[in-house]
Amino acid sequence: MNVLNIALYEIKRSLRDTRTFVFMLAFPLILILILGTALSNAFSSEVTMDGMKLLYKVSAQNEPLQQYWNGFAQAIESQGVELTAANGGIDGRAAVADDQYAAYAEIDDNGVRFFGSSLRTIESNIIQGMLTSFADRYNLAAAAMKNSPEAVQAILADAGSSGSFIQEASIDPHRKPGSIDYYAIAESTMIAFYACMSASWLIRGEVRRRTALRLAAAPVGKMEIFAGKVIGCTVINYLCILAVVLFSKYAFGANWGDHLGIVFLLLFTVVLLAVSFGLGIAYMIKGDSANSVMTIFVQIASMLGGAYFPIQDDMNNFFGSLANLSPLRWANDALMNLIYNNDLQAALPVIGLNVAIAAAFLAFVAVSMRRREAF
Amino acid sequence: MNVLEIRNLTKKFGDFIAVDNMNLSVREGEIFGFLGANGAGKSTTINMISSLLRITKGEISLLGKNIVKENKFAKLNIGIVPQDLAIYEEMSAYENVSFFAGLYGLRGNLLKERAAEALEFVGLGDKHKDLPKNFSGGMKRRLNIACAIAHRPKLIIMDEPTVGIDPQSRNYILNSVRKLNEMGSSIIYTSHYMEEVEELCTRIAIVDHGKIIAEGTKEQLKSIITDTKEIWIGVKNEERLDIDALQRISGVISVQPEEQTVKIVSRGEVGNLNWIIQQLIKDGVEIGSVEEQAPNLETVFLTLTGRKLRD
Amino acid sequence: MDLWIIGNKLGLLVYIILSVSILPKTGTPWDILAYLIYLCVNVTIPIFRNDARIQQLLSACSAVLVVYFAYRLDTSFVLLLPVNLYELVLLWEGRRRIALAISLIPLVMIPREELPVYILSTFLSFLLYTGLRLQMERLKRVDEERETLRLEMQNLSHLLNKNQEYIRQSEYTIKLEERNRLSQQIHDEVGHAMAGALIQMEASRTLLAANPDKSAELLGNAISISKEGLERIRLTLKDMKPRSEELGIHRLRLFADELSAKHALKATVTHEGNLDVITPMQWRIIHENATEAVTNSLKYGHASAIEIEVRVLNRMIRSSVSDNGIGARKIVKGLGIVGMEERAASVGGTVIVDGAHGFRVTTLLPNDKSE
Repeated sequence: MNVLNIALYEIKRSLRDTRTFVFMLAFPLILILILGTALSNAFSSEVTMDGMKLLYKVSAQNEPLQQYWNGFAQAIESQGVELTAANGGIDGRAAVADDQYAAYAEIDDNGVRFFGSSLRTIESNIIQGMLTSFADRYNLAAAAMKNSPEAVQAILADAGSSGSFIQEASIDPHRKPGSIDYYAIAESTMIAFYACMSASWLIRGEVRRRTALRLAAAPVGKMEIFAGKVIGCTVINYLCILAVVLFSKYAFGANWGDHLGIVFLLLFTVVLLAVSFGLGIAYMIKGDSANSVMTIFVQIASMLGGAYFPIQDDMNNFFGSLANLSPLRWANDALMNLIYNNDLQAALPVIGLNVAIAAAFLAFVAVSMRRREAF
Repeated sequence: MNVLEIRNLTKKFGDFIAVDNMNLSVREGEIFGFLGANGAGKSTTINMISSLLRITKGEISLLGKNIVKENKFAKLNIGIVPQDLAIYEEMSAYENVSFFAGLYGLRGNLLKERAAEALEFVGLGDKHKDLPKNFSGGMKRRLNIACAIAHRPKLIIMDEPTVGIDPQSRNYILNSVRKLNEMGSSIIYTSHYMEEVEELCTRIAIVDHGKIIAEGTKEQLKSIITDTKEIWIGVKNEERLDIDALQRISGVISVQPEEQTVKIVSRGEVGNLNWIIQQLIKDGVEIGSVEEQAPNLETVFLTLTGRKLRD
Repeated sequence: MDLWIIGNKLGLLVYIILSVSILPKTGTPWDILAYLIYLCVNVTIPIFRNDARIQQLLSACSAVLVVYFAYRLDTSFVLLLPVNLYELVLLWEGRRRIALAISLIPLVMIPREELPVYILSTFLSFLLYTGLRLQMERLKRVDEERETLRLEMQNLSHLLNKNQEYIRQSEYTIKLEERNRLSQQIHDEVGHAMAGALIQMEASRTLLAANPDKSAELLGNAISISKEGLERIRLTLKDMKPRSEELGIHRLRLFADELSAKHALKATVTHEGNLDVITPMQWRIIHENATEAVTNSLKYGHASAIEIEVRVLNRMIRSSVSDNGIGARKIVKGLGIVGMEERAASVGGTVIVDGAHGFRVTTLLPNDKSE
């Protein structure tokens, strides 16, 4: 009962604090808007994918190969690749270098020779992937020809059916986050993590305001006060996040995927982690330096987590491994996987990890609070 | 019965002994004054009474029950008005009082009633919806008191409740303390302001370096220093003084006429100034000035501890 | 001891993180979770310093976890096992050989390629553990020795105090005996002499008319007996009356003069009020406390002046010793202060020690003049 009362009072008090509101609501929304529109070009999904132009030249004499290539060409044309057969006079490589085509492929009896454009890396990569799978499949067919010719037909027929070359979800143009989508996720997790700032004030604020004295003198257990305040703080911060998520979804049209339940659960654990982390730091570091430590940590974690600009996945250097230490990074990766790959499995370890760390911090604070006189 | 009984109370912070083997009792219905310089151990003692600090040694009992063993009972029956303002500035006066009263188990209508009553009591009844950040210093102090009394504690501890406020608010607070006392609460009152303690308290303890060095009513405390008072009377025509007659007045110990003045040493507890002046008038002595020098608590404190209450 | 074990664990953990997650870049979030869990459990161990059972439980927990991680995630985790095992043995206060033995058990289960590293880390951990163990035992022994020495010293000083008290008491009794003897002497000798003189004078009066000569002779006898008696009274009294410097304020003055002479400081004595109400017992306490306070001032105060003040108030006697030295921000109660307090408490008084502006020791004693 007391726990509930304290939590409610805490929520009411936070609601009165307009500054918190501006900070927790307006700040992320504005960031989403500004960063989302200003940096939209930095996102590959905005590159027009209809310009996948492939120049090719078939000099193969092999009958099945030619037949097979034609099937393949038809299939990828239906996927939006523009194929142009090179006339004898055209220097394919020069055309690609001039940015007329995304790639140039020469098909002869020995195989496929591929020249990708260094200007249109994304397109040329996609085409390269398709050609690779084409070559693989043809090799398979060629090998089968020697052993069991009747299987060839099935393999080649399969090759002609559309879509089987490009199963990779990552090159599905519709399943890649736009800048608004990206920043909606990144800012939401960042603001969720900002909960640690208000959490660090939970107990210290009471001490500073001297109200801790009243609380300690009241016939209420320390743990009740502690629980009430943690619940209150978590709830109010969580409400802010919900508002940000819903607003970005409906007002900005950000993509939050089809599993909103899990998204919210994940964000909840991030808030919980942030609250317990803030409390823990405030208990470990005495005085006001806790605040500066927290601010610095939050900023670094936000940056590494990709709140201001996306961090590449393939960064294997020091910076990349550092980025993996940011709790925001885990959360963002999991959300991306969840929303764009429907990968529910990706969210579970992060949720577990967040809850585990939160529990560890809370236990630490609870234990050290019990030992301390007053607060 | 004693509301509060402190026996052999000791509090150590590391090597430092903040409260040193203190013995004290506060009787029912008393306003008990706690007098001491900063760092004398007043607040430490108060914090132990209100369970904010652990007791190193000794015991405290409230209404005959040990406050450590029956902690909830003790907490329910104590109201503490802290030295510093302990209120939520962004919550209204009523919300402040009802939140703290709620911690004492008051619910529903009773809670509303008591909170309103407490606010009314400190004269903030019409301001219950206002936010304390718009309050004056005195009003904040009064709210600080209201937060401690809504649950009607048996013992109210007031730690410097009148620091830094205007005289009007101070008078209001002093009167409220008396009223609370009349309504049946015993009160422990600490203050730097000697006059307040002298005016308000029925019994006083002087604390220094964690020890009680003297305890009693203010008369008892003053009589530690001296039993006598000196009355200096400025006279225009000292030749008309009847010294024998003055010396016969009850309580008078000696009469020493000097130039233009007469110094009369008298027993302190006898109120004989009227008689002395009547005698002088009867003798046709023209009185220029009357000055009475009796020790006050400040001098008691200074004489016993060798230091001023406010350094 | 905690720090060393934490260091040991940390070192191994860093090695594992490096070899599992960072260098081969194959680390999974599960690995990170495992590191964190391991950290959590092991950081909790030193927190419960006061409860060995919880520590054992946590350490055992950690050992089980490590084995589980090694089995599920990466065999490197097994490197953490020996430390936990040693910690357990340490907490149980088991034998060193047991520790070594149980840390060798996993050897049979570890893949061949991990063996050298495991043996190396086990060996180093074992060295660390053994060193710690030896140091701890030595420390404990030294502590115990110190404790017995302290007790012994306490007993001795107690005995010494008792003896001094006894000497003081006996001095007092000797004085009393002396006084008794003197009053006896006055009674016996002077009394007899006076009685003799009285008889002679009575006889002289009766013979005054009948035989004036005889009467004059008797009177002369009486006079000489009286003279002799008077002389004896004077002699006895001279012996009995204590020398003035042994008493009260004079004794304090003497003490102050000695101080000024012996040390480079100025000692003064002032007083106020009627000193006659101070009983000899109170004088003794005042004097002893003053001596103790001055000793303190000389030892710690760096003072150049000491003032001893005795004030007789209406209901209290206040004696204070203050110096102009550096004082102390926090007073730590030593035996000296406790002694002063005990002396004052024996007659219902208190002692305040203040170090804010130089040392000041104030002894407050009740003045029961009415009784």
